[in-house]
Amino acid sequence: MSHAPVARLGRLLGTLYLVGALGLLLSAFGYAVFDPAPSPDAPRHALASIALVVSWAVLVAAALLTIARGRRAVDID
Amino acid sequence: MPCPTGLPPRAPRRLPRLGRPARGWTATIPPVAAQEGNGVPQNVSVSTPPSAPATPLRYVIATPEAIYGTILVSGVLAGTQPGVPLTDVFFSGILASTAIWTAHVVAVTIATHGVRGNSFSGVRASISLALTHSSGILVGPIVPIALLALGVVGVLPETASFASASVSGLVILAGLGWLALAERGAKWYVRLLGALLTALAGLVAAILKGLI
Repeated sequence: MSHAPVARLGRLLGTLYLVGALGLLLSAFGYAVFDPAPSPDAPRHALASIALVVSWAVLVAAALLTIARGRRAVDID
Repeated sequence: MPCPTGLPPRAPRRLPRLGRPARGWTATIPPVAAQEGNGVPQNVSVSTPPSAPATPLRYVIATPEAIYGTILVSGVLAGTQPGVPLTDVFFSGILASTAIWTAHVVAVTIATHGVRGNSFSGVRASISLALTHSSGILVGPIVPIALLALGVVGVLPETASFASASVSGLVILAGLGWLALAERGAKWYVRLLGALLTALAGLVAAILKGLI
């Protein structure tokens, strides 16, 4: 069996996890550093919120792919 | 041979219901194996005993980490004070799951990195193992967070979104309890009792998490 698809999937997973982790860092930066204690009436930090949701979605996609890869490995075994 | 305990033999229980039927395979005996006059037919298709049953999908998706992620978000919802906007609850759920996921990845990486006995785990292998182990923490809360998202974008009324998200975790746990007993061949009322107890255990854990 060729290892190329496995390596491609590994690279894709690594990229997704990296993008998700960077998004998490960006959102944490946006929430904590720019305005650590916003007033209850202040609107949410739009950029930080978008980064959080996008990075969460990317991480969930990566997690689902990881599970699918594990399932496939079980089937092959 | 009589039973050493003297008890009557138990009736066979129903076979466990697995995710997919076990697959067997057939092999064809080459003609070389048959000699003239020995009565062995050529090209006989022989069924081998089925291989080990395939892993049910439940064990792949419903990992302890995924169940923990579900309970985690249920705990966030249980600890929500009245009057908090749904948007804040939504972001709190996402933040909680990503924060615990990050901590879990870091913890597994640190714990598995290094030399243990005769095996060595490098940083890359440890991170890979940590990401694989921790993926359930992100996958478990998908349903309640999706229901919250539907309320945030206006597809569902806010009350219905919050209520359905709160109940969804318990329903998932109840379903897992039901499936576990169904695989053991339990009767429907035993499955129902197991489902209720599983959901109750999840509710207790979520309330304890919500108290933090």
